[in-house]
Amino acid sequence: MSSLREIENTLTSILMERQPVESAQSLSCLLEDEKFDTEGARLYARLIGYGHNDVISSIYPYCAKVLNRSWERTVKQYVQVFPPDHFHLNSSARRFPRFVSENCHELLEKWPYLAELADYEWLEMELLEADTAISVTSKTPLSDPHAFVTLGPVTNPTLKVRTYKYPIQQIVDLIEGGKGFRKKFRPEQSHVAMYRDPHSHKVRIVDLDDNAQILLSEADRSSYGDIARRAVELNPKRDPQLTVTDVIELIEQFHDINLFVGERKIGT
Amino acid sequence: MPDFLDTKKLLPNLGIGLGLRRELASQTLENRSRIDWLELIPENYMGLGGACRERLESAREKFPLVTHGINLSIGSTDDLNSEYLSKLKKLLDFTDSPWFSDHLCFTSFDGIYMHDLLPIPRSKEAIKLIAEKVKRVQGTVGRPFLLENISYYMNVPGSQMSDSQFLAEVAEKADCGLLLDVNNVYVNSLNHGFDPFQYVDQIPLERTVQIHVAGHKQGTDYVIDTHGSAVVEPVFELLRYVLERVDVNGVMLERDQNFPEFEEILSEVDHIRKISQAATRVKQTGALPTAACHVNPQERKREFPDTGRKELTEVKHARVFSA
Repeated sequence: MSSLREIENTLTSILMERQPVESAQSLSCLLEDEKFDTEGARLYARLIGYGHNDVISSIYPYCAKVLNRSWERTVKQYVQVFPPDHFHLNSSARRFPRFVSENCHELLEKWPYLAELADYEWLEMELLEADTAISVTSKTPLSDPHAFVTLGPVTNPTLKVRTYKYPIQQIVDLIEGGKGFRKKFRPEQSHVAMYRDPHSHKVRIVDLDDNAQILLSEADRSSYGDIARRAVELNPKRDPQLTVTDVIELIEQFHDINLFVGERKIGT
Repeated sequence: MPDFLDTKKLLPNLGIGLGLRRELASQTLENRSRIDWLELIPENYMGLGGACRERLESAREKFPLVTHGINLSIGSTDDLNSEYLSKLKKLLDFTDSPWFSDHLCFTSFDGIYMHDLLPIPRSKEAIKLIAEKVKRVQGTVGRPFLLENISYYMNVPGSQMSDSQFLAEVAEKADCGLLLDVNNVYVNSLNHGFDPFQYVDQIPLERTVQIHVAGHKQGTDYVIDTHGSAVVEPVFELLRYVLERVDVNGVMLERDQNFPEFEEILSEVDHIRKISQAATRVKQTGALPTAACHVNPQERKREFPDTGRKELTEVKHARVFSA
């Protein structure tokens, strides 16, 4: 007589399409002349497959568009390599970027940016659900010289900055526009800042140039003055006054869009 | 914990509720006058922030809440997931729910989550395992726990008894409550050929704390529990039959897809309320309860539907991608 564990093991293997439905006929708990319910098992396997495809497609709509006809097959392969291992449904899509970079060499030859695109899409999902409280506090005007040197910004706690080998944001824009993603993209380093807005709870995405990326990565340990000084260092050929004006404008913008959510005294 | 039936006497009567679904959340939260309480899927809120958290907080401000889980996987031979239990307990402490529930099924094996409610072999071994796990769950969470009868679409090998006998034995041995889904009883009666009223008579109805009411889809081969259409009269009849025989603490409508105008959903809630009130009058006056309607269980037919069922759709609400 098959144990409960053996039966569950067999059912799981069949429903996850790791072994053929017919193999269940060997279960010793089947009574004489009893046939395993192959049609019922196939129905469940199909529904489970729909479920996986639905959730992964909803999280990776851009990858799905790029892969088009290869999408469903890729999802099936992904689930075989990385079966869902968490009670949160969305988490079952977590390892898709890793799957693409480690297991999809043919696809990467055709679309070398695919793993980075998947990472971009997962990051957005992760930030939407992140269990992080975001409190927004008021800001002192940067026209106050004392504040300028003694205060620094507090970045949004959900902020993640990614550096990609490909212009991922540009690729995303083209996919959203419904064209252009079939073209070949050359490697071109890009930086993307992603964070969740504390009011709308939507994920905001900011394209950063090299210098903005450096300034943002150092912002949490700098005063406003330090940021301005660093910007001048990074732009040695430019008029420092213009650079400082631009930086102040950038800082104001970051506060306006809640990328910065407050300020702190330097040294605290 | 005291005997479950003693515990049940202390539980509040929540009235008529609705499932909290992302797509209907704003309308649901605005209709406190016609909806008494809300049921939420804990997996959609456990350890999650952002819009999920905001929705949860708004719901808690306005309604009594209970949770109805999907991935406890009480029937799995895997051990209980301690991370799951700890997050569930934290959520229940936040919502201060008078009870919580999950399904009599397994959803995971060997750490793999299939995210579907799978039937378990109806065996003595399964009863023993589930009873032990339910006791540990109730002990850990510290609140009354209910098990729901699922709709199922295959005969699981190794089954030694009927579905009603299995549910009855699990509930008695585990000493837990029941969440009776009358639509699931009805759908299973059609797919597996039994009398739904007899089914209800064969389970320890006195353990029923909560009832689910929902719609289903009549396919060409299978009847599928979709929660995507209006509730049919035979399901209301089954609800009436149960409510005339037992006091329950909450009845709720599940609507998870193919959403109609919200007023249509509220009308169904109203209708359930009328049935509940009429059943209370029957019990109070000592009138004879409604006799079981005769149904002709049909032969099970096969169908491979294009759309997901209730469980898949419920879980879909976790997929809050397009904020």
